Amino acid sequence: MATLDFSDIQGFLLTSYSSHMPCANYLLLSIKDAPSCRNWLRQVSGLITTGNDRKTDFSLNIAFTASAFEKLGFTPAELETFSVAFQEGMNSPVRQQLLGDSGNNTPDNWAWGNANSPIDILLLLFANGEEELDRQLALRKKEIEASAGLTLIKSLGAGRQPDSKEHFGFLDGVGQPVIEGTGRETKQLSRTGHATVIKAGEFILGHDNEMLKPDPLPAGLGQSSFGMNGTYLVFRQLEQHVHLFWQYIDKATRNAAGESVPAEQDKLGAKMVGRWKSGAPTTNHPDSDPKVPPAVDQNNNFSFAHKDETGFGCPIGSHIRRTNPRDSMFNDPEVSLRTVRRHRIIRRGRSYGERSANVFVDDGKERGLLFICLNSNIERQFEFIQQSWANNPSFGALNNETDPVIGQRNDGNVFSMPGCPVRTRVHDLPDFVTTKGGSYFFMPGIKALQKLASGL
Amino acid sequence: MKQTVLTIITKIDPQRTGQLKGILAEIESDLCNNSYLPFSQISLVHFASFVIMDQPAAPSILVFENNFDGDLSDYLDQLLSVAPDGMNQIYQCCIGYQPQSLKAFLTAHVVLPNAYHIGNVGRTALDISCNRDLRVKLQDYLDQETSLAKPSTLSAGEFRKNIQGFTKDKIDLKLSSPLPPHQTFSERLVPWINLIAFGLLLIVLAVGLFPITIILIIILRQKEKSDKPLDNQSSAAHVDLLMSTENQIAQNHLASITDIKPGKFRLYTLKFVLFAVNLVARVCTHGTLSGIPSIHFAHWSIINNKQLLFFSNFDGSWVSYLDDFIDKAATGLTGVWTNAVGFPETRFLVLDGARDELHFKAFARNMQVPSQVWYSAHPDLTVQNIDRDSAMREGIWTDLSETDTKQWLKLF
Repeated sequence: MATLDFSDIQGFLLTSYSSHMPCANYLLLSIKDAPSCRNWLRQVSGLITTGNDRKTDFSLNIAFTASAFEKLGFTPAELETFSVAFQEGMNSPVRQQLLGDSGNNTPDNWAWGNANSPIDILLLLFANGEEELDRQLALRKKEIEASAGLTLIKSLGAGRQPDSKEHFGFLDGVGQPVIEGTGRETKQLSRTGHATVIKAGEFILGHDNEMLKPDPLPAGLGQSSFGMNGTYLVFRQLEQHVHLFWQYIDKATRNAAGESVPAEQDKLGAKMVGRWKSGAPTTNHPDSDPKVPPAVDQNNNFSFAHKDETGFGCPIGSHIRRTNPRDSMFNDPEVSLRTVRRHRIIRRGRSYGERSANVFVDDGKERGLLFICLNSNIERQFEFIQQSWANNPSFGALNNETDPVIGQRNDGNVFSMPGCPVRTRVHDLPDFVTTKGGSYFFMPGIKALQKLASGL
Repeated sequence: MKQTVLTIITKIDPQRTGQLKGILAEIESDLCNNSYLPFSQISLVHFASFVIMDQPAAPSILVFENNFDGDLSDYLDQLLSVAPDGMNQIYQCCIGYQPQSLKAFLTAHVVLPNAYHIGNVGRTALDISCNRDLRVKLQDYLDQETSLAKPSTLSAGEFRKNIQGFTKDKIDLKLSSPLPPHQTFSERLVPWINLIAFGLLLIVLAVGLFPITIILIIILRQKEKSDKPLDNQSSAAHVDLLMSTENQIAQNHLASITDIKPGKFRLYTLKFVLFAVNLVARVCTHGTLSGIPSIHFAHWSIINNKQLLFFSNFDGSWVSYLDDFIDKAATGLTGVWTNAVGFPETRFLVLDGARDELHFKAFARNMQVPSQVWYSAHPDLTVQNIDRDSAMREGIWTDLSETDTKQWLKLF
């Protein structure tokens, strides 16, 4: 088993901070001048929250794009030791095509992370309340303004909704892998009734992954082990069109007399997600949201192969079955579980924007998810889930379906819900989510961060 | 009907390489209706490609990959009747070409695979597209019969009767007539007999000639210890060039060439392993090769006793294909490619090797060559889609129990 040096790992890799620190703001910076930027880095590097800290008031973490490393003096040979996806950037043509960022999602329309608004540094601030967040934000902004090395491009305010539900109305962040060596298995078990322990190397560089080999360790500033205890951080700003989602569902579920049927709306939404709004999985509760929550939360204690092979509970094409197929692939639960373990990510998303007062009405306000995930190998983990599962029209031998919630749309996409005697389909799903920005970052270990701050 | 997998390999006249590339680029720009070789009119073909492969100190070769229904002669006849001029112009760019007898020229340059795999055995390209059309019509019919607004109250049996009625009244017989079995009884039996006989013979030889077996293993281990695996990553520019044409349709294409490690020992080991792989592949007729459910057609050919060609037409992304290989077929593919220069470190022919994911992926990208032309007759169908469509049609007119009826209705 991996022995982890928590003092060298940024705290954000180990926890989302969401229970103690529901308020967050992400600062997107660009580097104007490398020496001044290094001075600023020296100032903030001492404030970065590590895996050893047990803070409850305020946390700070930091990550960098490839262009930042270039400006901070990495040689071309060193940059080539990083993941190709990271080197190219999320808005490159190859990545764009692979992630389905075409049509409305095209990087040309993004608010940041494209050619018009490139990003070098991501500074993540977390606080236990709005007041503390504002205070910390003011301090950090002052330091940035005082430094001649940085420009503040954007400040993205985020915060967990009070009940951990994302804007469509569903409980989010239920299923999360446990990193081996962090001792969080018991906590996850009691939180969701299920824990999958995954090799540390899938999320923390320098350790063995699920194939019992380490993923490539990036080099930098003359150090071959620069990447030690770092990870890749994927950030995407996803606008959620809440009214389109619920209007579509309302229209699809009206009865023969043309009246709305709230229970059927809830059901179709749940089938698309694979969970009821409460988070209860449709595999265990195929027909309605359980009214009384069980004594121990069992929201993640389920699998598909034996109980729900055909998808009567959780449709094959639903969001949670595509993004974590568990034991349902290849008609072989064991092989499926083994395969899926190599395609997991740690999700650290938080909602942004006000919650809709009426989900059926377009109030003209932007809201969505600041999607962040952490992984050691962007191609094998984040991109694989996006391309081979979520956006794959033939996933699970389906025809012309993509993820009904987050999927990129093709002409006439359908969503089918297996049933007896036959399946029911809904047609022509529109985009419920639009990519508004994004970048691939590298979140270094603490020692590597100090090296960055001290320079060559 | 059986499917045939082969390549036609010719040497390119170095003076005419540019001209040939121009023609191939034009074909690729409009695969179905270009003026040289309009693939949509070749009803026998499933997948085809033209790939130019450079050769050390020799003219480059043109590899024409073909995966088609029936025999070579009928297939060439169709190609040459649909595209006599285009084929002529392509092969005019090759050495030794004689315009009087293109068919004889092509036949003379056929290279049969040492091992091959077919995902949907016994289903012709025409069957596959008819089954697809049938499925679309029946799906639309079902959507009219049942929806969220108007849930159906029929039983499974009643539903089936209605589907049969609709099929009989509204659907062309061409789409719905019963299909022949995927394989005849003897087509299924003979491969098993071959495989078992081979397995028994192998055991008898290995035990009977035990000292020789030991000597061979010692030689193998010595060679494995002195082999030099490739250590560099594949270049980002090369990978980007390959990726720029990937993920346009349900399948992707992989064309590759590698040098076989020098010496007779490696060459014969490779021939032996491919022979065994081929015997196993002949009994893998349920759409999977060693548990991989996503390969339409794949084959290996040894050329000039020096190089190994590999062509594959597979579902989904390159990364998912390679991961499938690593997760499910690492033993077999290590046994094959460990005999090629640069493959990751291997023990006892089949251990380690491809399980070294990152080095194996770098090796696979390095040996891959861009396909100048690649055509798929089924751009929206995976192996599993094709199987499912076929099962839907096969079930329409057969006798089904109540349980089978419920299973059949799950296909829709």
